[in-house]
Amino acid sequence: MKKNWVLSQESFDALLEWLAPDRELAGQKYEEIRQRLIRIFTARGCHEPEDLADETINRVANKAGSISEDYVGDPALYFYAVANNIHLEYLRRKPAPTPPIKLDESNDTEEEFRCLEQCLSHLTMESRDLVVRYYQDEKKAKINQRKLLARNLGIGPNALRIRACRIRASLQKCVEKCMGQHFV
Amino acid sequence: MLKMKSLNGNRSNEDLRRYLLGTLPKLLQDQVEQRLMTDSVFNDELVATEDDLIDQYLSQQLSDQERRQFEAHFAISEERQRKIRFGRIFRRYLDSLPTADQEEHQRTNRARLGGNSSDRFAVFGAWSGRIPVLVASLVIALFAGTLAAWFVYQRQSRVEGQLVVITLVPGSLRSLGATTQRLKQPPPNSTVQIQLKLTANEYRTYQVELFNENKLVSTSTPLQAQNSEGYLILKFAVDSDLLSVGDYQCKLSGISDSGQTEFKDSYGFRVNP
Repeated sequence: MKKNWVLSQESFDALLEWLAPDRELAGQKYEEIRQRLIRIFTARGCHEPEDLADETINRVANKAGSISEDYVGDPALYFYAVANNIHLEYLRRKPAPTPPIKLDESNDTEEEFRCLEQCLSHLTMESRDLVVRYYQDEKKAKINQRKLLARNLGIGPNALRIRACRIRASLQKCVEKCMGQHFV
Repeated sequence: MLKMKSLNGNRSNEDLRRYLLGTLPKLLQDQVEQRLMTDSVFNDELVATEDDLIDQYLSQQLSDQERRQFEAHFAISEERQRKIRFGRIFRRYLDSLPTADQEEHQRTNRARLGGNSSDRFAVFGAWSGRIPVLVASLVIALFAGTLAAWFVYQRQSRVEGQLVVITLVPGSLRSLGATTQRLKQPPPNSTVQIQLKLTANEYRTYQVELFNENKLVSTSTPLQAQNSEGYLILKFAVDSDLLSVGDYQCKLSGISDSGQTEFKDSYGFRVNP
C-alpha cells in the first residue's frame, strides 16, 4: 500500500505522550492499538492489514499534538474512527480479489509434529496438562473435562478459556520458531 | 472536541463467531470493533473464538454455510492460515493421545471383569461382580492406610532429622573450575535445602530441575524468589536419599505468564563422600 503520511520522530513522540505519560506504558499501548487495528482490518477482509494499521497510526500521530489537549475519552477510539476512513479509502481503490487459499496439509507436518512435542516438553507440567486437557475430546466429554479443569483450578470457564488460549498461542510461536519460521 | 460513543454490555460468543465469519450486521460489527479497541479481555475472547472456529473447521463441525464463510472470509489472512496450520498439527497430536472417554471405558472394563451379564442373575450377577471388587478395595484401603502411616512416620523423621543447607552461585561445574561448590554426602533421612543466588528477579515464578549426570533427579516448581541477607535467592528442598556421590546441575528456568519455561542459569555442585 502506498504510504501517504510520513511519521516524523516529533509526531511519534507526541503520539506516545498522548497515549500515556510514562513512555514504556505508552509503548505498550501503542503496540496494543496496532495489534487491534490489524485484527479489525483482517476481520474486514483486507489484504494488507499491517499496512492499513500503520497508515492509521501515522495519520493519528500527525494530529496527536493538536488533538491531545481537547480530546476526551479513550484515544483508542480515535484510532478506530481514523481506521474507518482508511478502510473506506481502501475500498475505493478496489483492491485485487483475494487469491484462493491453500488449506491443504504440507510435507512439513512430521517436522512440525516433532517441534510441537519439543515445545510441549518445555512447558511446565501444569500448563501442558491444562492445554492438552482443555482442547482434547469432543462435545460432551470436552464440556465435562473443561468444567472439571475450571473447578480444579478454582477459576471460571472464561478465565480457563483465555488461559488455555494463551498457552496455545505460545505453543504456536514456539513451533514456528522451531521450524525456522518457514510456515506457509 | 471529539467524543466517541461507548459500548455497554457483553457481546455474546455467537456474535464474535459471526464477526469473524463476516456475517455480523454492520451496526453490531461497529459495536464489536469499538469494544475490541478498548477492552483487553474482549480481545482475548476474540482470539479464543478464533481458535474454537479453527478447531471446529478442522473437525468438520461447522455448518456448510459457516464452512464457506470460513474459507472465503476468515482464512484469507496469512496470520490465520498459520493458526489453521498449527491447529491441524495440534489436533493431530491430541488425537494421538487417549481421550478421557477411552480412559473411562478402559477403567469400566477393568472394573467389570468377573461380572455376570445374564438378566436372570442380574442382581446376583451385579453383586458377584462387585464382591471381588469390594474385597480388593478393602485390601487396597488397608494397604494405603499402612503406607500413609509409614510415610507420615518417615516425614516426621526427616523433619526431625538434619537439615543441610547449601547456597549456590550461577555457573556450571566446569566453568567454576577450582571453586566447584561441594557438599559432603548428607546423612540418610535428612533434607538438603538448596539455595540458588539469582542475578535478577525477572519472573514471578521459577522452575528448578536437578540433574545428576544428565539424568533428571527432581523438579521443583513453582518457586518464588525471596530476599535473604541482601541477596535474591530461590529455596527448594531435596531428600538426601536422592543425592548420592557425584556431580549435579540445577537448571533454573523462569516461568512466563503464558506458562512457558525459559532457561536462565545453571548451578553446579558436587557431592563428595
